Amino acid sequence: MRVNPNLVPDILAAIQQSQATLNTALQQVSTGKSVSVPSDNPAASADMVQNTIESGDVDQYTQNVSGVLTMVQTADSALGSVVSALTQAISLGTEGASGTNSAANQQALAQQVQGILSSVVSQANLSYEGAYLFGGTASSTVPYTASAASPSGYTYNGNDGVNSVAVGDQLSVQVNLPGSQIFSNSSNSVLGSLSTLVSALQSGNAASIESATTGVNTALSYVSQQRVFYGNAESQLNSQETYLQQETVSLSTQQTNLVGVNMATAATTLSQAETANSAALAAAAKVLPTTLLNYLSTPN
Amino acid sequence: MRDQVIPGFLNQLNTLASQFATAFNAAQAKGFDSNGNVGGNFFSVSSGTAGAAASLSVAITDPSQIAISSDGSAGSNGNVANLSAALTGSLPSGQSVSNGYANMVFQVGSDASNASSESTAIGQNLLQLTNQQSSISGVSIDEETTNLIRFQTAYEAAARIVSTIQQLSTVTLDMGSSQSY
Repeated sequence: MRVNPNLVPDILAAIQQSQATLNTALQQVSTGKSVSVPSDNPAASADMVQNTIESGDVDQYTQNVSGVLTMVQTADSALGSVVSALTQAISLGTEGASGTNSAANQQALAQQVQGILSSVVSQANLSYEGAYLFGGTASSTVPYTASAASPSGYTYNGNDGVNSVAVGDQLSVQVNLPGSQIFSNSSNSVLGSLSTLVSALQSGNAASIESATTGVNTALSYVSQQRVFYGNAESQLNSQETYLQQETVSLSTQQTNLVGVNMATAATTLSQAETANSAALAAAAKVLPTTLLNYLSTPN
Repeated sequence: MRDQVIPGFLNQLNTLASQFATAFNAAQAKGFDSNGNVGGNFFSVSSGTAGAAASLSVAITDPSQIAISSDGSAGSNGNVANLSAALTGSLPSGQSVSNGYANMVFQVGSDASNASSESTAIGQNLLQLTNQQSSISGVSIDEETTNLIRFQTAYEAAARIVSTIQQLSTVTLDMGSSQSY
C-alpha cells in the first residue's frame, strides 16, 4: 500500500502531543498540584470541595475553642476569687460568733464582710471583651446593681439564658452559667448569705451570726459545685483543641493526597517530556526538507 | 454540550443557590439580630430559580443584622445552630449544600474530561482519515522527481533518435552531390 507522502499532519500531531505533555508536566512541577481543574480528576475535585468545607469548619471550631477557652478560664478564676472571698467571710463570721469581740470590733467585722460582698459583686459583674460573663445572655447589661428593695441589697438584671458554642460537627459546649444560678439562687444565694452575715454582725447577736456563717458555708460549697461546670467546660475545650489540631493535620494530608503531586515523579515526567519534545522537533527538522531532489546533482 | 448540558448545569447551580438562600433566610427569620429585631433576609435572591445564582447577593448592610440571638438578647447565640444547619442540613433537593455543590463539581469535571477525551479521539480519527486519503491522492515529490528523470531520459533518447536520423539523412543527401570522393 502506498504510504501518505505528506508527512506534515503526522509531524504536527506528534509535535502538538509532545508539547501538551510537556505543558502538563511543567504545570504540575510549577504548581505542585496534579489537579488544577475539575476535569483533571473529577472524583478528587469533588472530594476537595468537601475537604475545603471541612477545613474551613475546623478552622472556625479552632477559633471558637480558643476564644471560648479564655472566656471560660476568666469565669473560672472569677469564681475562684469568690470562693476565697467566701472562705474569708466564714472566718470573719466565726470570729464574730465567738462572743469575745467588742461592739466596735463587731462593726469592723461587719464592714469587712460588707467589703467582701462588694468584691463578690464586682466579680459577678466581671466582663470579658465587653460582654458580662454572668448576666446570662443579656451580656450588655450590668448583671448586679445596688438596690435597696432587694434583701441582699443587689438586684439581678440579667436573664437565665445560656449559650452553647459549636466546637465540632456534632459537639457544642455550654460556656456560661447565668448569675441568677450562681450568685442569687433562691435556695443558695451567695449575695443573700453575705448580706445576712453583715446584718447579723451589725446586730451583734452571736446565735444569728453563727447561723449566718453556716449560711455562707453552704453558699461556699454551692459555688464550688457551680465552679465544677467551668472546670469541665475547660477540660472539654482543651481536649477538643487537641482533636482539632489532629484533624487539621489529617485534612491537609488528605488534600495533598487528593490534588498534590509527587515531586520526584513529576520532575522525571517533566524531563522525559522535554526529551520527547526535542526529539520530535529534531526529527521534524531532519525529515521535512529531505526529497530526492537533494540528491540530484545539477548536470554539468 | 452547549445547548443541553451547560444549561442543565446552570439550572442545577441556580436551584442550589435559590434553595440555599431560601433556607438561610428562613434560619435568619427564626432568630433575632443584635438590635433585638427579628432577623431579616441575609441573602437577596431573585424569585424563581432562573438567574438565581447570578442574582445572589448579601442583603444585610451591617454585621449586627445577622440573627444570632434566639431570644432577642444581645448576648445570646442560640440561633447560630439554625444558621449553620442551613449549610449542613438537607435542602428541598434532598442533599446538603456542600454535597450538592461537590456533586456538581464532579459532574462538570467528568463531562469536561469526557469531552476532552472525545476531542482527542476524534482528532486521532481525523488524522488517520487524512493519512488514508493522502496515501491515495497525495503528491510525493520523490515519486514525481523519479518520473521526471524517467521522462527526461525518454525525451533524451527520443531526441537522440531524431538527431541520429537527421545525421543519416544529411549523410545520405550528401551522397548525390557534385563532390567527388
